[in-house]
Amino acid sequence: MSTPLLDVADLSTDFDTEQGTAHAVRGVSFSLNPGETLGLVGESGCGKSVTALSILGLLPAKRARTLEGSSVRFRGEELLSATSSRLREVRGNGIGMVFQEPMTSLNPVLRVGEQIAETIREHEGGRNDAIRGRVIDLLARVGIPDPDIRCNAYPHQLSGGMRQRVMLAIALACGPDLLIADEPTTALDVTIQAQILDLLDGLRRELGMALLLISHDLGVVARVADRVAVMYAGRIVERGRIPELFEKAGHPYTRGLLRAIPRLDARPGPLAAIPGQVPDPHDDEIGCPFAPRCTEVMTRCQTELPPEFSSGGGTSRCWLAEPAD
Amino acid sequence: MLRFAGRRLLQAIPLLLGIVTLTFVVLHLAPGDPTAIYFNPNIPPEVLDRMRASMGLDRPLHVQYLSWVRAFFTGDFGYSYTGFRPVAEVLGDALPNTLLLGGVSLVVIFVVGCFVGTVQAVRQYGVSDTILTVSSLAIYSMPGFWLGLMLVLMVSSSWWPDLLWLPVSGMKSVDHEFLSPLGRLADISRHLFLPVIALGLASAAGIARYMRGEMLEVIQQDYVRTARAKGLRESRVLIKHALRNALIPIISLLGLFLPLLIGGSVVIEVVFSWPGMGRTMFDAILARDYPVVMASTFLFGVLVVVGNLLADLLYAAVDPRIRYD
Repeated sequence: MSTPLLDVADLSTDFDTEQGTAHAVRGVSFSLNPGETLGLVGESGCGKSVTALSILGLLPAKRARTLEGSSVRFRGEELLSATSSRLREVRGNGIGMVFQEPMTSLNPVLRVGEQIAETIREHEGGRNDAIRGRVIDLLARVGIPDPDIRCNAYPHQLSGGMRQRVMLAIALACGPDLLIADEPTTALDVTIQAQILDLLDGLRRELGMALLLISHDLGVVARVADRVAVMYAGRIVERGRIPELFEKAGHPYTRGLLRAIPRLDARPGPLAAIPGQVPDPHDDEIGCPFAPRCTEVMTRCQTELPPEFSSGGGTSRCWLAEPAD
Repeated sequence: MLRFAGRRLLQAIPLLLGIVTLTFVVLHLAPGDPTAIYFNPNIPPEVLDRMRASMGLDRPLHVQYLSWVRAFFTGDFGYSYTGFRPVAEVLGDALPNTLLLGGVSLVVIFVVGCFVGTVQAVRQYGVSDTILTVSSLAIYSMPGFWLGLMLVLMVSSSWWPDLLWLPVSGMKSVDHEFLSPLGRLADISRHLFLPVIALGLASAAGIARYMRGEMLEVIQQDYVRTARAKGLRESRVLIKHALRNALIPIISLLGLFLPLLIGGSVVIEVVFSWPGMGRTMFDAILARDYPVVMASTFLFGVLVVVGNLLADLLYAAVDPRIRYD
């Protein structure tokens, strides 16, 4: 097997808050091969966005820090210790990023064409008319009609879906090898969600990129991802390939998430919610973080954090998955 | 946009009429009249009465008031009681000087204020931020006239002999007419130096406070994160993306600072013997020179109205989301 495109190892990120130190990410590891799609799933506050931002060093330096021993390797190069100028070269060029809120992620006072163009100018340079041609081409590629007119529009003149397409055009401007999409469809209408998701997947295939898709929605991830990693309280609790994970999830949390997906063929009735609340990231971890909400909790879960056991082609951080010896 | 400007100017008419009325009332409520400067007891009362009659002060108040309203619409404010020149000529001489002092101060206030505020925001809670916060608060609390007097004292005393070349009064040197055009510019700039500091320093400190807050808010916006994710260098992130957005609310402050500037110019022009409208008005008030007082308050009112209109139009020029039609 070739070296992975992105290799995240033991990534831990802390935040300084008024209540003390919040452990947003606690030792996350995963890797991504060229052209592959990995879905990172979990509920709000589980650390999935912080993981994504840590990769590119986009967290506010004053309050957030990645801990010693963390490693993020992109094409074999360590990013966490990279100089800021080297990191800038990777951002937007090697790794493109799409954010959740297309409403606020674009600069309101700059024309969208310029917002795409400046990325190209920064990384590759070139004559203005050539850059403009590329911008129009990119806009057409992400499915914006009349791209030669729309590139002069301001963000407020575009709909949410259109803005997300512009964000995508920005992320793709320099032909990155990896696209990180952080909840790219969450803020959009359901019909637009499907369109953007298909566009994302289509462009990934076309350009041969790898995609790290972050979502709270297992349904969204299932649609495009090859593999899924489920995060809970700053840790990856389960990972697996797509069909297997849906059929035989090893971790009670994953099973809970799956039960919470609304289905057209299910009997009418309330959705199965997971009771309880996510643990406070300020608290120290004692035992399995999911234990207080778990329906299958055992005494051992209260005191011992389970390691990742291999289970059905993937791994599961649950004592239930411990192989019987 | 032209229609908007026209409507705003029409709306200003009742406002200006109110200013003229209020000035008239206040002038006549104050003790003394224009003949009060002829305090020589040897002047017989009949002569003073004749002087009053020649100024039209023997007429009933409402007739006098109506003649001012007529002057307001025709723009003919008659003759100065003390200068024995048409009011239009007196103010025509003074207005450009005031516009020069006020205009230069305004530019300095905004450039210095925005620069200092930005530096503080970027170095939030750093040493330079703390020093600038303390000093800008101290400067903001200094009354302009006191600061002006202190500057005069410092510069013209032997404390700092190096500063003796800075003029502390007037607008032109004695040999101004004999200088080359460039020399005249330098001469006026030298004379502008201290009045601009006295007039603008406190306001600049105020703008810096606003700017610091705006920048701190803007820096946290999603689109600034997007700009970083594109791999733009920090200077470009700050200037192109953050600063432009932070400036929008600052521009609306322009309208607020204008009356402050004009009020300040009255005091500062007196302190530095600047031959502008502020000093003209000050002298006119002391001499109860009614036509000049009426006309200069009216003109100051016009300046504030026009300045506010310009600020609003500028607002639309900087923020594409705002349109007047």
